Amino acid sequence: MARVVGAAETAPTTYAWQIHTEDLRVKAGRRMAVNGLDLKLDTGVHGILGPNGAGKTTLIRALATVLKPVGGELTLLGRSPGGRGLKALRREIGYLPQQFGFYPRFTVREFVEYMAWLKEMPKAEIPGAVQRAIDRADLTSRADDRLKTLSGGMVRRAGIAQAIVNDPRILLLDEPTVGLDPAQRMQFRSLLRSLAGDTCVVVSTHLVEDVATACGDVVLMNEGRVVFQGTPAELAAAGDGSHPGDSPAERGYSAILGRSR
Amino acid sequence: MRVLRIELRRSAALWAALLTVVVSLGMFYSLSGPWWKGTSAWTSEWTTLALWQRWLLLETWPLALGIGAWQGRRDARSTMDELAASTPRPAWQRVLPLVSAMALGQITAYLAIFFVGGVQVAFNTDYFPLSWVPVALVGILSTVAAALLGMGVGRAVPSIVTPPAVAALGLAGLILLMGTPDDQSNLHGTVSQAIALLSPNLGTPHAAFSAVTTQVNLLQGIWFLGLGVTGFSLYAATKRKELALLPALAAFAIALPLFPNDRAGVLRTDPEAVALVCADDSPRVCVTRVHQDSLGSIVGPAREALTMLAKIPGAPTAVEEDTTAFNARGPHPRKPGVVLVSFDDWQFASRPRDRILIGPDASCDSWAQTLQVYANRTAVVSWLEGSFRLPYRDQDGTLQPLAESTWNALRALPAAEQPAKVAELRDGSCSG
Repeated sequence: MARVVGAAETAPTTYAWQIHTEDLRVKAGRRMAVNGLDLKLDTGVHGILGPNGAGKTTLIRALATVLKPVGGELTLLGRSPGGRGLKALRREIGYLPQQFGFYPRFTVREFVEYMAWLKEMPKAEIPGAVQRAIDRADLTSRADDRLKTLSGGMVRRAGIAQAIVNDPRILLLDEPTVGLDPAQRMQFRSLLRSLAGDTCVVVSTHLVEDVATACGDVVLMNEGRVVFQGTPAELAAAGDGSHPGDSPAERGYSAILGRSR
Repeated sequence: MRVLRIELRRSAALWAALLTVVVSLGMFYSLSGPWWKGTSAWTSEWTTLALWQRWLLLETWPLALGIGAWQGRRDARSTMDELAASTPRPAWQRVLPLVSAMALGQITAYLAIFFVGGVQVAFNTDYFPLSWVPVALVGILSTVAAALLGMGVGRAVPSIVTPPAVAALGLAGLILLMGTPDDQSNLHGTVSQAIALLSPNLGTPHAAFSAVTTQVNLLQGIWFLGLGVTGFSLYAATKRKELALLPALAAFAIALPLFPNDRAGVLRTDPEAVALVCADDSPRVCVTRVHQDSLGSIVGPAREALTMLAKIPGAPTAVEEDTTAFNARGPHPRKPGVVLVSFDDWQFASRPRDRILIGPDASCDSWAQTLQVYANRTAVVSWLEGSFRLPYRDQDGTLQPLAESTWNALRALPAAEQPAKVAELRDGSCSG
């Protein structure tokens, strides 16, 4: 089915960065998990790396407009999330939380459809968009199975399907590769690359290899701040044989973290 | 609409409806209780159907509460809130399909039970008042409110014990509030009887002649509306859940002081229902509008009895249906010159002619007195018919000899004195 492309979608963007933060501070509970973070992200796939507790999930939650920053600037698609523009902004966001919650009695199709409805997609577009998202997440053959019957990896893919159902301009994936087997992981990377053209994809992970192979841009976080931003090649170049790690990217990761401490 | 369909399929809504129907009809059809008895049986009149269905809420209201709580736990268990918080749709809109599905389930169940009774009522009476409509509407509102309240509690306290706990608490509460004001409620003598009206159960219907007062319908409507809004807010609210209690508290504060404190304020006699409809010609034989369709079957026996009674002095000249509830406590009313009959009196229902001949009921303190009254009345009937016949069932054989001796004594009197004696025996009540 042909999709009608609205004027808003073809209009040129009036902002330089899809995601722009300046001195961003976000609390996770009482702790200032993101503390003075500056970030500029364009379209493409951005991998957020960092040790546990670096503030990756808190950053993603703030970008998903779930958490409200306590200080600094946050601009998504040229708009500050809040007030009247929030609803419109949220329609452009796809989000896969680290703890992906779902209704186990729903089928994959029903769940993705439900999420499309929550994202206030136009009624007529929903069935087609749901099918496309399920196909892209490679769940076509399980589309009418209940979520509770799916394996962990398939549930993760259902989570990806719901995140991309609204063709988001900002796609936030928190630990999306957890539970995927190697073949699914490769498939996931190619899915990421196919999205890179017009979407700002932010993938948080602690698996350095995921980032090195799938992302065009790497952001390394530590203690709530960005300590490195560059290409995977630049990340690899930061380290040498003296740093711990099994691959150039991992050695670069260790080198930068070691320096920032 | 598509999401509503998904929720109908995947939520407990339809299961809840099925369970409610099974429990309700199971109760009525597997047990023989007052719901099958006489003119206030649940299938006899529209009003008694509506009231019996409200009585059923004693069981199904806590059931709705428990199933609602079970359903309400879903969101807390699934941790969907994180995902939902990133979407543009407001929280209250998000819960709307599920809430609608649960409400639809409750409404469907209520109407299904009503339908099963209603088909039978339609065959049993041709009196169709509209006073039952608000009674049924308040009943439906109360079950929807119960489901919503359960959902709200289930979400606020998503423990595995929440559903059985709220159902048990609900049942205990309703049992505590059971009965109508002034009518032996379990709270008798402790607090204002008006508090019993917080329960959707209005007590056992006593007669087909009553209608629930507008005041009670309205106030109970407000109360359950408040309860439902509180349940919805408790379920939908993502923060400041304590504010959700306000609608219920407000409804409580409005309704409780205004609830009537006596039975008369709850159930009024429906004047249209008790209006007498009389057969053509004389002697006069009248029944209430409610039982108009039975008039044809009793007018023959009633006139035959009146004609037979004409032989005695001061004989009644008319038969009328008693418009007070037959089961109501207190002495049965009498009306000079008129035989008052009730369709709830099994003797009248099976043998109307005998019942009229026998004379008014006498409530005696001892069995010996009752037996003497029965013997006297047997003599009356035998005298009127010209030969000895027991109009009662003589279960242990004690009535027959007593009645025969009374009958013989009556016959031994001079013929001129007999009619006066018959009249005396027929009218007399208990004596030693």
